[in-house]
Amino acid sequence: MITSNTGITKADQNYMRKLPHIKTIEFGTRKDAVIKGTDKSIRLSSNTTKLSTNKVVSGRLPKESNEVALSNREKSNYKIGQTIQLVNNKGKANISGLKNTTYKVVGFVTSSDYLKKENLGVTSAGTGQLATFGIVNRRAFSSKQPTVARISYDNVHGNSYSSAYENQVQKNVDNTEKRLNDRAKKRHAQIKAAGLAKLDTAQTRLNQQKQKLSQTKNQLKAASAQAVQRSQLKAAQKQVAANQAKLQKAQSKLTTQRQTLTNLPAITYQIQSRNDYNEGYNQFGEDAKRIDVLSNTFPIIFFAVAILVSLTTMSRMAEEKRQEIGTLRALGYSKFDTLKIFLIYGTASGLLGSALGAWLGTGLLPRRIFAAYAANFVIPNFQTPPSGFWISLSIIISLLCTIAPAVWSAFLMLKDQPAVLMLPKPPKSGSKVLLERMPFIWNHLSFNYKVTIRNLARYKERMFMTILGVLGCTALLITGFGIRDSLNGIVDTQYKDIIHYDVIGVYNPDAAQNKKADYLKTVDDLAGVKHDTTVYYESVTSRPKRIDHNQNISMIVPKSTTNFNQFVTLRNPSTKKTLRLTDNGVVITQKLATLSHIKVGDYLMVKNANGDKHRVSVSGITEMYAGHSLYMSPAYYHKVFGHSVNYNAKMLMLKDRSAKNIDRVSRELTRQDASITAIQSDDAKATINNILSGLNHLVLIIIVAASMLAFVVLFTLTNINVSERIRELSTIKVLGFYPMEVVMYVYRETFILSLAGVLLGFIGGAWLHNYIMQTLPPETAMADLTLLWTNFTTSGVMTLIFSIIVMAIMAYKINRVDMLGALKSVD
Amino acid sequence: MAYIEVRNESKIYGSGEQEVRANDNVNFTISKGELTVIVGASGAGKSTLLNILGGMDSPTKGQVIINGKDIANYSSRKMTTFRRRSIGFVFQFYNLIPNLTALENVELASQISPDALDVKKVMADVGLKQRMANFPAQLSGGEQQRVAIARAIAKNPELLLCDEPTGALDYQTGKSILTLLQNFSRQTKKNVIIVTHNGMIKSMADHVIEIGDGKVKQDILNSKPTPVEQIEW
Ligand SMILES: Nc1ncnc2c1ncn2[C@@H]1O[C@H](COP(=O)(O)OP(=O)(O)OP(=O)(O)O)[C@@H](O)[C@H]1O
Ligand SMILES: [Mg+2]
Repeated sequence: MITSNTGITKADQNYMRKLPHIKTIEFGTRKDAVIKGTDKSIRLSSNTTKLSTNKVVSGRLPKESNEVALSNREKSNYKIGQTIQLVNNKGKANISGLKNTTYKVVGFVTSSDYLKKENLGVTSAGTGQLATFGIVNRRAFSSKQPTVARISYDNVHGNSYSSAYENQVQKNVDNTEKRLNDRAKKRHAQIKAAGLAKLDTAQTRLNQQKQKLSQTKNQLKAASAQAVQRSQLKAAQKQVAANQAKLQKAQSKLTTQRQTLTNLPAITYQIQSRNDYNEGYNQFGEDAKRIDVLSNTFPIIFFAVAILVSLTTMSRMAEEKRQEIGTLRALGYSKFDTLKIFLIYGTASGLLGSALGAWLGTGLLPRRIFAAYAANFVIPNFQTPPSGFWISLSIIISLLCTIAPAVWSAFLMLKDQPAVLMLPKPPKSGSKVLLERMPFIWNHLSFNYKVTIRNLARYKERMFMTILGVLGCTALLITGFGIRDSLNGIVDTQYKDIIHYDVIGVYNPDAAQNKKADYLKTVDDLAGVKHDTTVYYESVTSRPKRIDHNQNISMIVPKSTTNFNQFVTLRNPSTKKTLRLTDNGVVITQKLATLSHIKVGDYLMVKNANGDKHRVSVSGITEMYAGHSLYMSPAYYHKVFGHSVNYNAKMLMLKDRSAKNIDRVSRELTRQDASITAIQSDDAKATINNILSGLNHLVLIIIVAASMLAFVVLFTLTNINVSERIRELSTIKVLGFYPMEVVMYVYRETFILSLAGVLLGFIGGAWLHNYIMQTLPPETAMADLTLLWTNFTTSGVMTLIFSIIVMAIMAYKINRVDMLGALKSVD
Repeated sequence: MAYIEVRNESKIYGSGEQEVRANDNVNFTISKGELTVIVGASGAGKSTLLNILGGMDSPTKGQVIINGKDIANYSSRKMTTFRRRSIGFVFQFYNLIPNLTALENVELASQISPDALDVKKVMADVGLKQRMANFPAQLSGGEQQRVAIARAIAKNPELLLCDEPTGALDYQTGKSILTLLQNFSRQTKKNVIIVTHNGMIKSMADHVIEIGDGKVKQDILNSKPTPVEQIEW
């Protein structure tokens, strides 16, 4: 999409049509205004027919110049047939560029240009953030010259967000950018030259007249010397004076004209790919990437545990059927016949589980997760087609897990003679443990711990599984809580410790002197401003290597570098030491440095809206969690850009930092003629908060899943443990162990393993959290990676509580064991 | 003075048609220090009776007074305490913990008992001084039963109950186990009750109670018990 700050002429339209690789190009016009009685800003665009077409949800598209089709999100506020009144920033019903200010609502539409629900983009109207949009007829605009051009290319392939697509589009944009810039400059120069030429001829004419006048003056002087006809002379003198005044007026008019012409604002033809002009498109892609990260990490843990659990359970089932197998074999059944039961059982359970999983996994769960994630977006018809590949893969894995271990254990048994099989398997005998060879430790252990250590050594696989299950649970809990804490932490740190300003009011420094003065006076008169400072603000871009789209950077040059820390704390991310703006380099934000692989002392290439590139040296990297920024001193600006700073913004720190107050201030600023836009420092806050509320669901899912994981693993293992050792437990019961002692006899080891699992889980959780928090945040943001100790305690205690609940269930089961029954049977 | 007094004790499983009277109105008394043998056919109700005497099961009816206390209506916790303090149990199938060494199996019992005997000395007494560090699977059946007896004795119980202690052993080994039990009874003056279906060993006991069909068939005191070595069967 190409956007221009003035109309695109016929000649330039033709030029754009002939740019390389253009498949379709469609010109359109748009204009921002404020909805009367609110501070909501609306962007009116001419209807499109080929690219970014608008989908009518209800009603119809506008046919007349006084009709509008609103965003479908406005359906709750307006009805078809109602009128909507628009005003300019000053609240007057007069919007330059628009013929009408009152429109009849004729329909509601959705547009792929506006994917987000809030903050659709930056605008000069209202609070500076676009609230909604509307579609009007082309004739609603007073100028016939379009201001935007939408382009589709013929050389791009692949889906949106695929790197093939994004790379090619970016390449095309880069190629076109230079030409468009030249074109814009040329046109600028042309207009200037034409104007100047006109002025020049006017000037020469004026000069001639001036000359004539001075000639007349001289003649008059000579005449006065001769002193003839005084009255005639007087009249002539009067006329000369009048003429001179007229000429002087003409001269001053010419001079101001010349001045405005030299200061003629540059014409920009800015070409941007979807990622840059459509904030929603980019963010949606980033969010999808986030889901990708999560879905590639968490299931692995669950898969591993599911596999382990089904392996143990199924092989245990085969072991339990040992005598049955023996009897069947003794009765003359073939090996295959005896195996058949395991095949059938394994297949049935595997298929049943997979069917249930496929149903949940392609329907319910994705819908829930999508709902949480798309909270900020207007994405219609979410589709969850069952994925044949993933379902088949899952079925194969689950079948392998259910059939293979059972059949394998059974197969091993079948090697034995039926007679052997009919006897119960002798219990695993004990053996010396390593620790026993260290008498100085072993002899000091209490008896219970010796027993526990022996048991631990006896069932090594189970020990491994318990640790793994608990580890997974703890790690998931830490990560779940950690994700939330990290993002919560961002908001706090970002807005309490780093960013202290609330609004940057950007104005046109080349505006007429009185308008500029008005603007600055408004700032001075604003109520509730704690501090303000003058800065230069410009939005520049930079493209780090290996990333297929541009990063937007706010370039800020404070007039006073000494008190700037009052507005933005520049500090080293790890040492928290304050950074100063020097005269030989810029300070960039942390995430930008990470993305660009830049260290202090390296260079960064930045590009302004015109496509001019400048190389800046990085002298510092500062802590920042959302948005890329670049700070430099006026002196260094001069060095890099070759001219001194033309300050264009006021940075304000408000006493009342509420969103409402910030909106109020922004509105007052944009109301000024000289205003360009107002940038609110809490724009990112809303985004983070939205992500947070989405993540709360996710964190809940993670926590529930982690708890289930802990339960399943601990329950399965303890259950197997108890049934296998029922005889042992009965024996010690007979010896006079109290119920709790009996429970502890088996559970002490699980508890120790759980503790070990929790400790390892701390390490695993810290690692997983670190990994996810580095991959999860969007490119413009980063998270605080530090984990709170409360997180460790909560996760650890929760895991141990799960363990204790399982223990309670087991205690109940153990106490109901019929000790006499268990002891009656033969060894 | 009677150390054990069983009065009108019955154990009934099931009800109505399927009612099984495992013990049916059993009455007897045992004096302090007696070596008692309970004999009877398979299914007679011997194990049921022994389990009730050992506080592992409660009778359906009647009183079981041991050392002046009626344990018949003890709560589960009181029964556990009773077993812990006063009872040593030896099973037909040893029921050793496979994962613990012989010594540790004995320690398992001694460490929960308030006045336990020295474990190593008990091991020496049962003749297993050299095998203390072995695991059950590394011991013969007789040796395993010795460990089981050591485990029961180490708690220093008032009453040693043995359910078919020789049932899984050969003749010679069985004999040596019975000798061990007889010696224990003589040396410590503690009550030992041995349940068996082998009537031939009756002569080793001070007191023989014969059970049939859940009832006491015979209750004989034997003033001149024969040492086990001299009994042949
Ligand atoms: N839990 C039970 N439920 C139902 N009936 C039982 C139960 N325990 C034992 N019985 C029955 O009580 C009767 C006595 O059983 P008990 O085990 O006391 O016999 P026993 O004399 O020890 O026999 P054996 O010499 O074979 O060990 C038997 O008929 C048995 O079937
Ligand atoms: Mg029996």
